Amino acid sequence: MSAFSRGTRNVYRNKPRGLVLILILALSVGLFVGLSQATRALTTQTKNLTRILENTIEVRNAGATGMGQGVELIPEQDVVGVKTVEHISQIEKQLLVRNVYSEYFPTISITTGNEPGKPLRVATHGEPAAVRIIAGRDFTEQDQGQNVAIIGQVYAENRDLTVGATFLEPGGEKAQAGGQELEAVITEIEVVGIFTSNFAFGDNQVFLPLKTAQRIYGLDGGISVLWVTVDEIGNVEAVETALRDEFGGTRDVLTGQSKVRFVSQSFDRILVIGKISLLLSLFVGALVVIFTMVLTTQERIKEIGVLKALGASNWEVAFQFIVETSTLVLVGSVLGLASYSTIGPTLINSLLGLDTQTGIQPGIEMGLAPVSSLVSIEYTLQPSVIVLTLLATLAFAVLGSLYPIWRALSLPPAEALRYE
Amino acid sequence: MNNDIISLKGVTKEFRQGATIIHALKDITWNLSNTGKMVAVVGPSGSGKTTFLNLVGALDVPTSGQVIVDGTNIADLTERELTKYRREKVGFVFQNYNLIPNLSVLENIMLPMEFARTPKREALARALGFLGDVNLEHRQKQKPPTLSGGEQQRVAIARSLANDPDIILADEPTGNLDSQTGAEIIGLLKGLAHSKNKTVIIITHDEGIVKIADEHFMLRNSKLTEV
Repeated sequence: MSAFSRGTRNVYRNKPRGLVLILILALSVGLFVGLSQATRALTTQTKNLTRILENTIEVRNAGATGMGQGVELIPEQDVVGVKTVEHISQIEKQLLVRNVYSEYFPTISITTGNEPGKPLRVATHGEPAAVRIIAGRDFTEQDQGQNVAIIGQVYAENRDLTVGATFLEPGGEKAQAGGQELEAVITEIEVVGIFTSNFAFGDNQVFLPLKTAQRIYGLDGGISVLWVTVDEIGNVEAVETALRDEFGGTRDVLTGQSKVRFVSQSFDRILVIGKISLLLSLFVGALVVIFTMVLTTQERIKEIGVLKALGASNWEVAFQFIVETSTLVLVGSVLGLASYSTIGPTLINSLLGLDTQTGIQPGIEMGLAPVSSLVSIEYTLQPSVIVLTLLATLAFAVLGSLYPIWRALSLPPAEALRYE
Repeated sequence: MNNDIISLKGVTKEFRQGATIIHALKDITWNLSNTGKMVAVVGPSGSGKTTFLNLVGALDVPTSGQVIVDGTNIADLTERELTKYRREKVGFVFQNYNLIPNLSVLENIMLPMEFARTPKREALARALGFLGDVNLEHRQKQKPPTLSGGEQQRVAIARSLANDPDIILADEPTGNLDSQTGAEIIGLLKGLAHSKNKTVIIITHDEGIVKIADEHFMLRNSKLTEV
């Protein structure tokens, strides 16, 4: 029977207490890992969104709301002028048509003509949106001009549509674009994908290939919005000025600054909460280890005296206790990691207000969804995270054990033996 | 030539209790020669009997004076040397047995041998031999809490023999036992002292034990005298 095996066996010496300690440790480790995964995801997502928004400039006809209403459309030849501006890495053309339906809620649905291969951008009132396809597929180059659509999940739920199903476009009472009522050619469209954004209004929208939308609504060459992506953040101001010069006040040139502020502030608050929770879970874990060691050594001071009376060196006694704490902490950590793997994603989704099964905002309520639902979280733990967690908790156990053990060992054996 | 096994020279042990200094032992001088006998040390409660035993067993160090065992002054030993001394020179039997509750009887007896780095096979054979000496072979796999007080004390005696020490120090070994079991334990210790040529020092206030012991001393008023 070595000091190692005595140490590991001692974990189960007081089974109820050992179990409670292991469970508390598992909870701390599971929470810590879950929160660090969520915090990391939020940090990455904030950076990504900030970069995307900061790099993007929206060009509309002056006075247009961007939702298919307002003044006349932008002629497609404007794009030629935009292409002459330096530092532009991508130009996206969108046609926005406003459809009104009295039998569904929300009653307004935006149909967006989108260039295949370009990002799917839902029309918003300023809400941050991140479109994710949850069924079917995105557009491909071959879809240009075809009667296919990617529809929002609210739109799909309202009409009981799934991938492969067909619907009529337009299907509402009236359709408007550029401030005028449109004479549309009602066309049967096949659903090739279903998306979610982060809010119900966004999820009540329809994407068609740009050419298809222009054909159905008789707006060949018509564009509502130009999305201009700048190659570097540092060039955004120069491109914005160049675009204003190019259009001479006939177009609204909008940068992402206000959106960035909105997103950053919201994410910053979540991140602060996440980091505080992280520190708290770390603090609880630390307290548990130190409390365990103080308790274990305190109640076994007499035993330490016995071991020393039998000829054990200080190192042999300390090693036995360190093995005991390390075993406790390792079992707790493994259990915590395993718990995270099983219930972590559901728990995080629940904390962030996402659907507990899919991680997607349910999207059946009208209004602004939590910003947290923009986050795409990487739930799977990397092997490096597992190894680092185990090493860190182990190191913590050893360090946390040193003082209580040293205190117990510094007593003369005779005094330790008197301890009750 | 000095044949003393244990020799105390002007040993004083003080304890501090708040602002008060308590003299547990005061200027004790005492010698013990000849091995293979059982020595009883008696004295009233608080006379310093356990302190005396702790000093001889190197569980504590004197405030002043010398505790010399086999020519070595314990007070001069380093921590490492004290550990070696406790491991090789002395074996302890406590009133409360002090067995490790989650180790089996056999593992408890093998524990001091593990500290002495005795090969496992040899340690096992010797532990079984000691179990035979105390008639507990049939209990080898049991945990101490399942044994009676007398059986636990016999395991403790077997454990004290593990590293074949010259001196067995027993602090009130019958204090928690009924008189019949206590007599059996004392008989066992005396038998071991004679058969294995050990010096067994028993701290007790039991007059019956004093009568059985080969030699007995009285610790009173900080003086250890033969009676």
